[in-house]
Amino acid sequence: MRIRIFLRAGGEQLGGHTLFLRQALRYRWTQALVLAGICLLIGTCAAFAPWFARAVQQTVMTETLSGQRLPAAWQLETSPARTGAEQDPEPETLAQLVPADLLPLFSTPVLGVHSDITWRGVPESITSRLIWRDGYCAEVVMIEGRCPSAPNEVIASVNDRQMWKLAPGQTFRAGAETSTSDGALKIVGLYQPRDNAADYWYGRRPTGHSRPPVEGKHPGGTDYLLTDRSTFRTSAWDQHATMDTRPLPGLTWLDDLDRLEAASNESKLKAVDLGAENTTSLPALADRIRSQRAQAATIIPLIMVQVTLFGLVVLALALAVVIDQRRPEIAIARLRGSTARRTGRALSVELGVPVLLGTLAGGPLGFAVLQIVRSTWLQGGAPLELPWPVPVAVIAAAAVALGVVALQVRGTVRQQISGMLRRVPQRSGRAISLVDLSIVVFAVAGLVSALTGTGRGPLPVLAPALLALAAGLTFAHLLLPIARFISRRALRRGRLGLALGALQISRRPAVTRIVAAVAAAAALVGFAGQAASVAEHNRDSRAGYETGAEGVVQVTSGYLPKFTQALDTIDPDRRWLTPVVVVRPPSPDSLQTVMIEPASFRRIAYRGDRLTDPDGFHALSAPAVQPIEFRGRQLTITATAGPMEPFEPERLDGSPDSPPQPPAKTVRLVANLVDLRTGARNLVTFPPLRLGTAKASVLRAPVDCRDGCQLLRLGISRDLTDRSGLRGTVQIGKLASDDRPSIMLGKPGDWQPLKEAGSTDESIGAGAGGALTLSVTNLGSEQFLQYATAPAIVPALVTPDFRYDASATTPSFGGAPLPLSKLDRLSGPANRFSLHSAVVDLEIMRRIGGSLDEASTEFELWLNAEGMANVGTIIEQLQTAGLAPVLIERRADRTASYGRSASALALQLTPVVGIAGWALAIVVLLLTVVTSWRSRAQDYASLRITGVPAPVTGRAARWEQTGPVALAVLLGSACGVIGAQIALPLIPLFADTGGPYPLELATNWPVALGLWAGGTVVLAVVTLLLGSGVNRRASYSRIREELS
Amino acid sequence: MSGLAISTTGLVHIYRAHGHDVAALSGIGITVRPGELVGLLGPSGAGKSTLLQLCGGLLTPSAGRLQIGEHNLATMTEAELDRMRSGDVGIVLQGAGRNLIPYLSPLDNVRYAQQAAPRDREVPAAIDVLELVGLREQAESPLTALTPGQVQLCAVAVGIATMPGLLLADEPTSQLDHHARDEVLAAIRTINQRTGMTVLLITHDPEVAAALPRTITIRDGRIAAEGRSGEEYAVVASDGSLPLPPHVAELLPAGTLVQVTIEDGQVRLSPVDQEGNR
Repeated sequence: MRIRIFLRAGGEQLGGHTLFLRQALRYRWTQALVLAGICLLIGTCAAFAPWFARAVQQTVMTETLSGQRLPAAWQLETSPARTGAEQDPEPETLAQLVPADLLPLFSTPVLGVHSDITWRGVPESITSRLIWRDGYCAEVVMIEGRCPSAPNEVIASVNDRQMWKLAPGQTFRAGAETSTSDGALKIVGLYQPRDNAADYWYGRRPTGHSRPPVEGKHPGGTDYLLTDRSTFRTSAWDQHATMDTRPLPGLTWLDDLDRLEAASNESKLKAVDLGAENTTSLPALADRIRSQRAQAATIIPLIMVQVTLFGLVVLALALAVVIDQRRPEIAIARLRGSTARRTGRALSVELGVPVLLGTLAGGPLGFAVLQIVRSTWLQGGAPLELPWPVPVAVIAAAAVALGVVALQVRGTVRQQISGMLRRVPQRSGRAISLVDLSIVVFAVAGLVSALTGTGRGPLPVLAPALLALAAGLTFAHLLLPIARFISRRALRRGRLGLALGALQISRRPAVTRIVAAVAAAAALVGFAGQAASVAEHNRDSRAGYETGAEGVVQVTSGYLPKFTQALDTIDPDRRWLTPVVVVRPPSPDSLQTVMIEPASFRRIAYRGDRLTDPDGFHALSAPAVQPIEFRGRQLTITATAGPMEPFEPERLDGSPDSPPQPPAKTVRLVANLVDLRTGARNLVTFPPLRLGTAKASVLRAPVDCRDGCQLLRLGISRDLTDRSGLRGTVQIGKLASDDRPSIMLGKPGDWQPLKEAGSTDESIGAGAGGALTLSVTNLGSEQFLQYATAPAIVPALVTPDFRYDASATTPSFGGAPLPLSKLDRLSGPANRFSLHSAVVDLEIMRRIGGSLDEASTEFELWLNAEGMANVGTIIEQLQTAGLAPVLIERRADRTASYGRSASALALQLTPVVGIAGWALAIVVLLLTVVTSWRSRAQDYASLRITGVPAPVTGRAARWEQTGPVALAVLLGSACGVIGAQIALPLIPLFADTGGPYPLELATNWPVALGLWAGGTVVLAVVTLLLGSGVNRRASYSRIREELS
Repeated sequence: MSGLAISTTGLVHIYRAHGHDVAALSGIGITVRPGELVGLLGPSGAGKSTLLQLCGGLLTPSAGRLQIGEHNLATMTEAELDRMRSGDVGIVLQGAGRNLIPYLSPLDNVRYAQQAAPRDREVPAAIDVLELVGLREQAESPLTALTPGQVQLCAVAVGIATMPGLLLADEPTSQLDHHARDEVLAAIRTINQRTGMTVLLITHDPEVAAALPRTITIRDGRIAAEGRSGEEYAVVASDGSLPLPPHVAELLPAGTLVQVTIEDGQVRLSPVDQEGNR
């Protein structure tokens, strides 16, 4: 009887590809979970990278605007009207320069008016700044009296109460410095700023200083006098209108940057029309933000693309394993007439669902991770936003992941059905080799490009991952024959466990996947570790060099000796500090003089010992010659003029260079004395010494050496009208001061001629005879011999950016050019002052002396860690010594600041990369074991039946994967280190490239070794546990299994 | 669909192993009529499975002609072969588990096998197919709950899911106990009788072979013998050669000169020495 009941037509109506999807997913839910997990990582990376990059950029903007409040602020100030006909602009006019569309981004403008005034009718010369700022009464605390409420009422700083005895009720007259007119001002109160550093002041805060006048240097001064605005309406002051406002961090974002910059530049131009100036550095800050954006845009994709790429490789490996396991099902489908395409579609749907869901879920997860990162690393510096690259990246990642699925499925379903029916898949060795070979060729091409090319493009930055893949695959393919060889050898020697383990390796091509994946993971981790540690090291070292030491205290001092004496009191052994004095040149293109104490600098400054070698430090130091010191009000010299001949310089042809002059009758002896109290170098001129007489003359000159002087130079000069040439000697018999009847002048060799600008025919030298004999050839110039306490030409370490030649000079105290000789021994960057600097010995400069120019001279104390721990005490003692110290910089602050740069923020991702790398490697391991454990267990069960003891199969099972994995970790770690050496130079560690501080990209071996050891331990433990698990399941029943 | 005929002429299949060409089939010629139930016998490596896979379109003949119903398998494309397997030819592989999706019930396995059936082809309800092999009660059971015999019946049901004209079964009764073997064999006979489906099955089991109406024995890639209702016959090949039954071949070792004569309508083989003497 034939079947007659036919219910329906063929298969398409049965539900197509999704009919049994749910059962399929449920049956191998762990595999679906693993695939979804891998894709979740890929999707998260894809979503997080652009999100994080944008957030870092926003944070950089926020923190730049927060940290650089004054440079970012628009600070407009008018100059007083040039003619009486012109009206001084009101501050409200300046406020109108802020474009209406940007007003919401700016803080409420603080308007102000001020005038620099001179007190009239008082015995001392006193200057003040009379100032009104909108709402100032709320920003000060009235110590006495009240806030001004009427014209010409002022409040004075409480700091002026003691110095100038100011008190409420006093009146005084004052006028603008540039005007003769004046007005009466009445003090109605004494104030103290509520918070001197408050944003309100925009740097125009009261100085806090009350300054007494110093004759010849500056007049006395008061702190700011605050007044009502009406004061400026009723008096004829030279008014400066001011307006201060700043873009508010938290409201101003990246998209506003271009508009802000354009508006800033525009406002600068418009301000000129109003007779004002906008001092904002916002355009420069915008440039800095842009360069930091570029850093983030380079580093973050570089890191995340590697993880994503590795994730895709792992996905491909996982899919290969998963699809392999489905070969019987594919064969069944094909047997039942399903075409390869249809079978492929069904399988693609089955595998594509977890892949797609996992990748898409990466979007929300990436967002969640970003939220954590926003509130921790980025400290809320970025707004909540969805930049367009995020969905694009997620969709692209999903498309690529699905593409990988399609490719992997396609390769399998197109195989012959008869081939798929085999229990052990018949590998096409050539096909696998071609794929692997392609990866190796691609990787090697990338490496060659990185090593020989310009370093542009994506290949060089992917060097670690590419290198690891190439090396891992090559190693993996070599491993199979090597394992076979080891197996035979071990078998011959009776080492059954090793033989079996090696044999298992040699007959399982899946080991190539494990080795390649583990090597790539180890390389990623190694690279991440190097990138993070090397970047941190560079940030740290750069912060150290830029700061100079652990901390820097700036000291205001009018005199060098006062400064050095205070230091000798505080820290005579220089355990905590080293002094540095800088004299700035008038032109920025010239050298600046950086004076150091070599011995303490080596110990205290950041890497001070690397500035130069020991010989360099020795050459830099002051000669070990005791200075000639004395005290008193008079210096007496006993001198005899030796034989003197007229001297006339000749031209080359022998004719006289100038008309004959009458013979010289006198010369004058001169001396340079360095005042030990002020450090100034004074010229002492003795009375004329008559020539033509052999009788010794006693010459006296008044000196101001009550606190001691050092004799630096001796020489001769001539009267202004006497320009006749002479050649001869002057013998100095004795030199005496009030406190020393005879001053020893040392050996003649200790006196070196000082090269001065003048005729080349002139010369001076020292010889024996008496105390000192001066041999001179003189045409009327002043000529000196300098005592060996300071070299005639100062040795200096010159920064390499300056083109040194023999005529180069550097400013000494007071700005006079000082000839220098370059020591070619600079072996590292010059701390803190790394450009256009001549590093010289402070002691030499002290001995040479000079009148200090406060405007161009800076005194600094560089402190080491111990000094920073005692900085409070040091500052207190400096204040006690009458100096004004301010801690201006800490290395830790600068390091922290670099830690908030886009580069540092982006590189914080590297630990994530490490974790992701190991997680993916473990996934590959688990997946491989999960899909192969049954056949492995069957193998070991068969061996046990033949009499191989369980411990032997256990050893084989454990070492079958542990050995290759340990080698792969080693190989991958090496690739990570090598790849880091290739890729790190391409990572912008700092916003500004180049500069005086070279990058230190040497391998951090402790980190590399630590990661290698850690990785080996983690993965070895995993493989050992998995191997033990397989061995436990190697029972006889396993052999009978048929249904998988 | 009624049964499909099988016709092969000079069928040759050569495969490559370890760098050498090996002839799995050397000019086989057989004819199976529509609706016939034929067993393929022979020692391991004789070429039975190769012949079965050729009939299923899983392998391509190296030479010769292979006709399944209207299909000339030597000239068919992959797509045509897929279409043939989707409706006209059902295959049951050796090892029941290899025919089944492990996570599907018997009912769903049959449905799965019906998925690719052409649109213009009517297929029976999956439950009816299972009823035909006696598995209606176990239709929704998980495969792991079935006995080995039931699993094999399920594999057979999957093979006939689209009611093909030809069922190719590779050792469907192996690894089964006698009872299960008989059940499977009975099911196959039932299918053959009720649907008129041509069945070509491979077996090593003499009892199974004895129960089949026709058997073909293959040895060394050639037809060695054919059995009809318990009687075994030598088969003259298309080139006139005649494979000797093993017990005769023992008497006539290779190289033996044989004088063939016809006496009284009977063919007589008389061995002679090198000089031609009896």
